[in-house]
Amino acid sequence: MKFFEFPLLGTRAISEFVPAHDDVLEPINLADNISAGDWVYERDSVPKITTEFWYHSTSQIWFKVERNTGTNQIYSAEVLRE
Amino acid sequence: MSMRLLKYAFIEDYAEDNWFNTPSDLKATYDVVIIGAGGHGLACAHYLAQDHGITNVAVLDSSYIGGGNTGRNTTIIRSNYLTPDGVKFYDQSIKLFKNLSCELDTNIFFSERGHYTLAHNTSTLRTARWRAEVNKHLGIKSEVVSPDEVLRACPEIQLDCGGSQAVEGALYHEPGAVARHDAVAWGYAKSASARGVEIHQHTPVTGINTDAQGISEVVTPKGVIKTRTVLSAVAGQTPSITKMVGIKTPIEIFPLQACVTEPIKPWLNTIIVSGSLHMYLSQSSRGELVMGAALDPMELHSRRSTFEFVTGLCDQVLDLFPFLSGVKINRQWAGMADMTPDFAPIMGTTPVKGFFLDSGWGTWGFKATPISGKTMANTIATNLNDPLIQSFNLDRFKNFNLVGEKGAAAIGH
Repeated sequence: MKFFEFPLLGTRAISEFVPAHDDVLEPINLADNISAGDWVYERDSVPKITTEFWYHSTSQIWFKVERNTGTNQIYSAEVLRE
Repeated sequence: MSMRLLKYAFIEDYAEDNWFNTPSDLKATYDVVIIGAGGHGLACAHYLAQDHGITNVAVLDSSYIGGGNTGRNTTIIRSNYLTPDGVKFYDQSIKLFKNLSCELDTNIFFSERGHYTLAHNTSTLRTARWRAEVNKHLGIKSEVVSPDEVLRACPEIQLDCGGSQAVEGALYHEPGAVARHDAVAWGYAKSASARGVEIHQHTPVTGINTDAQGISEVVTPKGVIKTRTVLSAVAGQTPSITKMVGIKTPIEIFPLQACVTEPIKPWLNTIIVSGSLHMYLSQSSRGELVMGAALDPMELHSRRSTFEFVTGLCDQVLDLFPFLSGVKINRQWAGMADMTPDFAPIMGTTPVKGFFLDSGWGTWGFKATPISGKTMANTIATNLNDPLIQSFNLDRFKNFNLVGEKGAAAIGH
């Protein structure tokens, strides 16, 4: 089982978290040469270091997690504040 | 170990012919280069040679034949999909599977078992009815059955699921089957190789070059190949290949895990799937119970299996079959699944001339092996999308013309 040191929560199993998508889409500029379909669906799913949003359901806290999608190594986790 | 196999271990002059060629050097040019020597890539090579007479073909693989998702699935074959496009496509696949042992002169251990998708609540039952109606309309044998009929087919099942999520009915799909996945890849390799196709294992593609006319070269550590036609058939690594030609797709990679138990006496004659419990189960001809679960929740480009998967899956399986509590897990593994937003594949032509995609196979690739090979071969030979795969083209995302198959996924995602 994989664990990580989360702020506020301490050491937790990553299976306790619900991951949300990593991309936060910027509003589309229709003047650009890109279709709305491409804007909604296109992904760049190659191994990389990315920032994701994870939800810890029991504490109801959102975290911003930096993770390598090739090795599953977690680099950092910080509490997501508004 | 069989005596026949043991005998060959001591015979220096090996009597069994190699099933496929293993050329050491690449030729300078090929008519078609197929990336990925799994079932799909090799099936395409076979049908290119058999149906269209195109034999100057190289199949490249970074590892060995069938070592990717072809050898990592749970070998279930079915056509009880939700959309007419999906149902027609997979129905043709089953028809090809039924005759494949004869066609390839290789026993693929095709075994028709019937397939039960359990419904534990009203909404699942509603989707089951929908699928049954679409299937029946297209001549596929699927029907919604009562819990009693599930019990008749599988007397060992505990329909009350240990007190929660009792089985309320099921979608029964008579043509549901299993086959040996390695044999499918080997059979296609043997047949394609006999017709002149070259199979280069341990030959990764590191780059694809283009010019004004489209695809021009494929770069490998063994040398550069000149070609005007490339097919990407690399389940789990499609985005890495499409990046080489500057195409973006909606594909995201998630691990899908599976496991088998130790061999036990035959007791399960059918295939049991439960989307609500995130599990599916069948018994192989060797007696092992082949089990799988839902996708892992996070994008990950890795084939490492996890302990959480086994404990979570066993927990769900034991709700339905408590008598299995003493059976041991023998092996577990993971594959990387190309997931698409609509749970349908991405096949056919692309914006880059000469570059074809056979991708987006998520958790539904093995069952499509023969028909994907046949339709992709036709698409490559004619440079026109085969009628059966027109709705699976990459441009459907640009046009918001998706093929919604999520309701027909075997397990929850």
